[in-house]
Amino acid sequence: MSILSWAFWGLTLTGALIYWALPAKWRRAWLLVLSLAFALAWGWFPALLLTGVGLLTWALGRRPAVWGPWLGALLNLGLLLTFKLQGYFLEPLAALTGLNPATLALLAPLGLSFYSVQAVSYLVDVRRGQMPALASPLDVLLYLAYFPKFLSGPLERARLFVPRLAVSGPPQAAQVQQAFGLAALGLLRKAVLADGLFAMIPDNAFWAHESGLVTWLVAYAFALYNDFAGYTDLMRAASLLFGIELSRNFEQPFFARNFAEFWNRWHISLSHWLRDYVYFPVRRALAKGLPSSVVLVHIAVPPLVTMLASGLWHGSAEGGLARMLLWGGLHGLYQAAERLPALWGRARPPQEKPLWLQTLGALTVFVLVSLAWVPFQVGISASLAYWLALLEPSRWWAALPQVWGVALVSLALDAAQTRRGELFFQLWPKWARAFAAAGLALVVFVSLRGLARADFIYAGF
Amino acid sequence: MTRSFVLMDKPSPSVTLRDIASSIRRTLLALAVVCLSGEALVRAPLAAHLPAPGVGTPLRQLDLKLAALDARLAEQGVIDCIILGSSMPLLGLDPNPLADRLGVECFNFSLNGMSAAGAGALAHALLQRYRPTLLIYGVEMRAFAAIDSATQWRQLVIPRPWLQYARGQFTLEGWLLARSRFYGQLLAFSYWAEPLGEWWVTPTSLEDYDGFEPIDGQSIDVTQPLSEPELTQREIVASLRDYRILPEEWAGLEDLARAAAASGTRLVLVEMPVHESFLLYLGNGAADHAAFIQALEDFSTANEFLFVPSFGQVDLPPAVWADRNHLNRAGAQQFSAWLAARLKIQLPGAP
Repeated sequence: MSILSWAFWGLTLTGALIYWALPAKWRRAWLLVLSLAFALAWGWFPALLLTGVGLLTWALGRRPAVWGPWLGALLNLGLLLTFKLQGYFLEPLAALTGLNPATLALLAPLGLSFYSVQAVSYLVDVRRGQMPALASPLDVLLYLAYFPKFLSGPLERARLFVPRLAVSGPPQAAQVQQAFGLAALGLLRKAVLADGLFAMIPDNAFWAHESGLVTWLVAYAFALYNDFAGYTDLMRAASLLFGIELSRNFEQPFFARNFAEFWNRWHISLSHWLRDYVYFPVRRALAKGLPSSVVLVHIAVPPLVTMLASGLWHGSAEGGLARMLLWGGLHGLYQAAERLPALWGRARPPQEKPLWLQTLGALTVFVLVSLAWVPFQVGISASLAYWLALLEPSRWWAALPQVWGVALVSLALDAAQTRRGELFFQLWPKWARAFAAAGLALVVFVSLRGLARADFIYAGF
Repeated sequence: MTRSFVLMDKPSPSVTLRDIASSIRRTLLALAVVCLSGEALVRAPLAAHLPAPGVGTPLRQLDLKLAALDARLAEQGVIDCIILGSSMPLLGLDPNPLADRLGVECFNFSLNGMSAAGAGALAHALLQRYRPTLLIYGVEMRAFAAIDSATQWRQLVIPRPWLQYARGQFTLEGWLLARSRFYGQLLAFSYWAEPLGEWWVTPTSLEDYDGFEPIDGQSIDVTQPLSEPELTQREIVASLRDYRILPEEWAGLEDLARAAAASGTRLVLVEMPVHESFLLYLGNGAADHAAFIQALEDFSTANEFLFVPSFGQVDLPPAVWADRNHLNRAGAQQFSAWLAARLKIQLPGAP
């Protein structure tokens, strides 16, 4: 079910109306029914697996004093890796058992990458004593299955998210207003900016390097950003219709002045998950096991390991694991290199630098991040060929001025959000808002009519 | 606690549901004002500088041909003749020899990949809108076969509201397109992600366009035998090997004949020429072709319109073929001149 379909929004609105009509004590149960129905829309297997993972996570979380949470975390990670890496062991397994590889293949269920790491965070937090184990399996299931975040996040922490599920009383008008605002933003980003850019990028842009190499990189960077940010805004709007707030996933990432800042602005919920469950543990382990004189290791290894884990999370045997590890490795190297000045003393935070250095920093981050998107798209040899082709400036541009127009609109939107807040337009005078909404409605209509809607990129992970 | 989650800016507590209802009312009013202003603007001289309006199909080529015909109708007050068909008449039927010999100003409305069902559906819209005295349909075997482009036409073009409305079936979009220029203009902008040169074409730049889109040179030497890639890789091969006329495509031809009869337009079916080597694609070779021609002859006799077969009738040297079933510019001129001469004889009292 597409998130831009009438069916999705019809079901969401109907579900919300029933939700508010129900007594508060039945609302969570209704949300769970809706969420499992949403999972079922993708097939019985995703729904069944999700339910199994939820019940297992609940049961193992109930034994925090012993091995339960660790076993649960391992099982969840094992499950995720099994689906991601099955392509590597299907052939040998088929040879061993004499079965057809197609019979053995397990289709990676949608949403698994997202809910399995949320299950891990819940179990680890319970084991660390950062939250009590949830008493009701319904709460654990709903935490993992909640339909606005089931497919592609944001990755919420149970200790913060579950209390938000306790919605009582009538709907809040302010939240409904925010939902409208987020839906408008989401539609603009997803249906107009992202899908427009995706329609402009030729299918073979990253492996048939004729011309337009820089244009396609810029288009892809802004398309990916607006696609995922727009999707998140739409899902946050859907969730607010139930009075439940979801976290932001993006905060103007192309204004980041260094890579640490970039990852605090891009796919924030995953970045912070990786920081808390990979980066910090690795850093602590190194601090315990290695003398502090080996500074380079302390500086370089934690970001490298963290970003390789991110590459692993994004990749799969079928989709290309090596290229995603290259993408993650590049980001790890960027961050490690960025920390090198710490070897010679305290590095100045970006906000303390002169404006021109901040601007240069933002441009550098954008260029290097964009270059790293190449292996995110195509295999390693094709990426190398693309980077080599970029050495010829005559092949940089494509005659598509719309790419730059869309990029400018996206940046202007980000600038306004930075200066006036995420829903800056809600501060405008009433009639200005009304005309802006009318204009947006026409632009969205035109775009939805004309563009072949690109599949939402992150649904593939 | 580390800053793990970024939530929204704090909502304004003073908002009420009544405020939201007022906002929605204001937005609807603003939308009405924008649409009415837009309607006034596109009816003003501004329209000449805007891209040609759309009709909501995935084919910009169709929009541009409609705009060109509209410009011609506005200038001449009448449309003499429309040519319909696929890429074969698009590349192979030059309106100029017809004008010279018959004194008929034809507009070539052929579109790439158009099947017989597509031609039938489009004929209703075109004949209703322009009332030409003559309709020339350039037929070919592929237009009736199970090929991908025909399926796409049946799925993506024929069901579009504009075409359905032209057949007398009410659709909101068809109704809007019949009344609002602003709506058509909006649909033109739905191509905004395409290269500018392909969609930002103003009606004034189409004034001298007659719809004929010839190509120069040759991509295949037709005197050479069919190569392995030609036999295995071309999409049309499988559908021609087991050639049969699809009933839904034949229904398109019947539809086209009905549309012509209903609007009092004279219909002429012209077999678009193929090189003799093209018959090698057919499982039963010349027999399949002969059966196809016979079906068309029977149909034209039964419905009392002219059918002009061309295979074996017109002498086209190897150099005039772009490939085995498309003529190049020189071929189009020769074939069109031949056709004009035939029509001069066979179409007494031609307009």
